[in-house]
Amino acid sequence: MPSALDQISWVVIGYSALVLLVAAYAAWRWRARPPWLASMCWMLEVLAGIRALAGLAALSGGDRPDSTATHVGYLLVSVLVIPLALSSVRDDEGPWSIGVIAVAVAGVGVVSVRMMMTL
Amino acid sequence: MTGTPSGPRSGGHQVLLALYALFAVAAGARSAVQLATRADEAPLAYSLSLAAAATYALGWLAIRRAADGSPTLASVLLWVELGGVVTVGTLSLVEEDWFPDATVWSGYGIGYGFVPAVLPVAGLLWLRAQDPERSAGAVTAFRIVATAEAFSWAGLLAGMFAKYVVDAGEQGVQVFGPIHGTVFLAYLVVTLLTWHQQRWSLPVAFVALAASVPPFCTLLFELWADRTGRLATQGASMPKTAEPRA
Repeated sequence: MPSALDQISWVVIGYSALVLLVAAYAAWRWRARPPWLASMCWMLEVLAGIRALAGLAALSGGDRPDSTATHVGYLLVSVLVIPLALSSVRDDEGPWSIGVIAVAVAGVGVVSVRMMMTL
Repeated sequence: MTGTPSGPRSGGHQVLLALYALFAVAAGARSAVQLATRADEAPLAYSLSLAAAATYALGWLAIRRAADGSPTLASVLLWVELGGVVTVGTLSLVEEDWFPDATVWSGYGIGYGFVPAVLPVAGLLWLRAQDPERSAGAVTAFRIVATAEAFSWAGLLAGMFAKYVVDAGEQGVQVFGPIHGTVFLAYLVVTLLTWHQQRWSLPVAFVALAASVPPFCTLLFELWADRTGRLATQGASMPKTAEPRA
C-alpha cells in the first residue's frame, strides 16, 4: 500500500491524541464541554475523510491489504464514529459529553493504529 | 451514539453507552468477517466473538433502560458479561488448544487493552451509584479493587520469581499477568469514580492513580485515605456545591 496512507494515519493518530488531551483538560478545568472541542473533532473528521478517500483510491488502484474487508471496515468506521458521537451529545454540554467524545476520538486513534497493522 | 431521549440527559451512562456501541460494532464486524471468510479455522473462538458482540448490543440496550429507571436487565446482563469475560479469558489461558485464534475476550480482553474486562465492572459500579441506599458501594468497591490490585501484584511477582529465579516455567506470569492488567485498569476506573464522588483534589487523585504503579501502594493509599477521611461513606453521594476550579 502507498506510504501516503501511512503518513495520513500518523497525522490522524497524533491529532487524536491531541484532541484527547485537550478534552481531558477541558473536563478538569471547566467541567463543561467548550464549543471549540466540536470544531477540533470536525477537523479530525476531515482528516479521517481524506484518509478514507486515499484508502479507497489505493484499493481501486489495485493495492491489496492483508484483509480487504477489514481494511474497508476500518476506513468506514473511522469516518462514521465522530459524527455519531457529536450528534448524540448535540444538546448536552455537560462533562460526561466530553467522555462520549473522548471515546469516539480514542476509537478513531485505535482504528488508525489497527489499520496500519493490516496494511 | 448514546441516544437517551427519555432518560437522564447527562451522566456516566453516556460514556458507557458509547463504549458498548463501539464494542458491539467492533466485535460484531470482527466476528462477521472471521465467520464469513475462515470459519473452519477457529469456529469456537469466532462464535464466542459473535456472542460477545451480541452481549455488547444487549448491554447497550440494558444500560439505556437502566438510565431510564429500569435496572433489572442491566443488573443481570452485566454479571453475565463479567462471567463470560472471566470464563473465556481463563479458558484461553489454560486450554490454548481450544483457541487457535483469539476471541474478543481472550486473555481477559488483552487484545483490546483489557477494556472488555473493565466494562462490566464499570457498568456494575455505575448501577450501584444509581441506588442512593447503596451510595457506600463506591467506597467499598474502591477498597476491594485497591486490595485486589495489591494481591494481583503479589501473584505477578510470585510468577516472575518462578519464571526468572527458580526457572519453574512461565505459567504463573501467563495467568497473573492478564489478571493484574485487568485489576489495574479496574483500579483506574474505580479511582476516577471515587475521585468524582469524594471530591478529591487533583493532587490526591494523582497520588491515587500513581499508587497503582509500584507494588502494593494501592493498599498504602487506601489506608492513608481512610485515616484522613478521604473515603467517607456518609453523604458522599449527596449533591455538593460545585467549586469552580481556579
